[in-house]
Amino acid sequence: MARRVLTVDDLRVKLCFICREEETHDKPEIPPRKWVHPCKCTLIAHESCLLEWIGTAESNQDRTPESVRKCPQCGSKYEVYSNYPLILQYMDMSDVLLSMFGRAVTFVGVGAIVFSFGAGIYAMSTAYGAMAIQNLVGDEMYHLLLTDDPTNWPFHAWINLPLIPISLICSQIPSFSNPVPLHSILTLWPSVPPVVRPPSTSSYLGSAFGIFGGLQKEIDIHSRTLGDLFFSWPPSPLMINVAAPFVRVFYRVCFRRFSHWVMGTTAPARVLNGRRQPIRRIAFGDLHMEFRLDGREEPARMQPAPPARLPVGPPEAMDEGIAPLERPANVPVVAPPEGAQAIGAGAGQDGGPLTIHLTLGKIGRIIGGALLLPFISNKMGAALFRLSKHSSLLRRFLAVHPHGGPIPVHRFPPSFADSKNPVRQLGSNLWVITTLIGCGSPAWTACDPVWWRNTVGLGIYLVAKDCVGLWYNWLSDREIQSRRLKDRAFDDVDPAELDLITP
Amino acid sequence: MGSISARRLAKEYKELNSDECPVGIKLLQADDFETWIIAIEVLGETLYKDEKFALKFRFDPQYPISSPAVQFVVDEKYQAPLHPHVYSNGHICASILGEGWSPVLSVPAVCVTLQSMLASCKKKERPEGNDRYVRFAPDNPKKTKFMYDDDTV
Repeated sequence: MARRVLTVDDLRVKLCFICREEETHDKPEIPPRKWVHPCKCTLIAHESCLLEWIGTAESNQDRTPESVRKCPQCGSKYEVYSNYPLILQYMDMSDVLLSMFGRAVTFVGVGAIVFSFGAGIYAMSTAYGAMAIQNLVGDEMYHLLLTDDPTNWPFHAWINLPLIPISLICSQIPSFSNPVPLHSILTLWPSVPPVVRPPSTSSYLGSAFGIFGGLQKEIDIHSRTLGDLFFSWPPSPLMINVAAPFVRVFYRVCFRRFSHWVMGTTAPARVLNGRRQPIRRIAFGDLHMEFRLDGREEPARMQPAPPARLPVGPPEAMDEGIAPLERPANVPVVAPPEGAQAIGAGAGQDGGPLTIHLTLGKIGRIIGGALLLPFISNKMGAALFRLSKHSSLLRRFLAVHPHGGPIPVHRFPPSFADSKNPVRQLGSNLWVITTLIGCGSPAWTACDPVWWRNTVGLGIYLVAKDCVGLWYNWLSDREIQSRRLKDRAFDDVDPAELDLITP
Repeated sequence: MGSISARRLAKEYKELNSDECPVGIKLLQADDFETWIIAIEVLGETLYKDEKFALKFRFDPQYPISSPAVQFVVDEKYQAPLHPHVYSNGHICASILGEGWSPVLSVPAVCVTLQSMLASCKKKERPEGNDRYVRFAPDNPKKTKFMYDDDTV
């Protein structure tokens, strides 16, 4: 006997597992709704309910169609069939393709925006770097080393120049290791050979021999000695790069002592320990935001608003490049500035981790101050140059020599040692490279050392800036200490209300 | 389709108030078809012996096609259980409340599942990153995208 095929229509009571509506076989619903038993277990449902569930769940991004089109109880797959004509299949397929195309357009578009933004920043930084070099080394050297025409630039200029503004800004942020601001310029550029092309085609022949139109003489860089490297004046770039960090540290120690002496304070413990406490928090004062750098959780607490600055105007003498040092209101100035730092970094008042309090004004001051350095250095150098006209001592110190003389070109490598001895040849070549890096190219040595007086000028400016800042702190401190309240007579009080000694 | 949701919830309401209601589960408050409060306790020898919790169910008109928003009540009277899948604001990381939801489930079924989730707990602790989650969590736990990476608890 064939087994009876039981279907959903043979059930006495039908219960939809989705809407939980019941229907008994003797009381059919009007209008009738189709029932379906789509799986292997006992669950049944209205077809409309189940299709709604499948449609809704499939539109949910988190679910895969496989996880939707199956029974939640027994897991057997639902078989869904529909009228799916060929034309709709094509349309579905083209819809998928079009979305892929759309996604590609979005990616390319976002990429183009990011790229052009980055390229804009890059171009701006590079132009700034070239301007900074021109300001530091002076026009004469700039037209030898770089020129205004970027097609002349050596390839490394495209890496080095955009990094100049970044290194300048970093040099002003105390939490970095404080490189000397002009390191990046003085490390590389002295040894760069001149890039200028001969003025006319006829001297291309001359340039092949390293002679520009017959005007330039050659210096044999083999003739340089150790003295040129270590004892020449102005100091060779190598000497400056070696000595600058020491000078800087020495200056900062001296200045710190000096400012403690001026302010009548004692050095905080962390300075005596010789190690700086790591900065753990950065607080943005005017945005009421706080970032923790160590990533540790701590109970959320509102930072008190940063202390308002007293309405003491900065002294008239200050120009925009000089950052007056912040001081907390109503608290005698405790922590004197550390060297040329423009960020007030102090231990939290609760003795907690070190917090940097930043405001938008401070950030702008740091970045603007850093980017102005090359121009300030140029102006200071020019001022020194004018002064040197009146003092032969200063002239000798700045090693001013009138330009206009022939600019030598080093022949490199053609004039390498002629010796047949390979060891001597190697030694000779190494020496050439050393002096080239250490003393700079012959063109660098022969030019008027604008860079030297500009560097000296920048040093003077930084010291002056620190001194003005210290002076500002000192004046503010004195103002706080001199505060008194005005005493008034009891003019408006009835004398009877007062308990007087002699009534 | 609001009527489907109301009719189905009416049936579940009846079930919760009848003898079919699972042990340890009691409907505390169901004034409408939008928000229900249900008390649950875990019976037997478990880490949560003698503790009482309350669950808040929030339904939208698409229920049961869309899952209810379920969380533990945290107020003066009730606390969220200390459990590796329950955040201190009451939000629960359980797949059946998210992508694992299906209309075959119901309010009592969810309660029973959560009872067994508590009963099988071996260590009372908060989920990793609880503080950060609670600080930024949306009011509705359905808006959170949980990662279901642990099927053992």
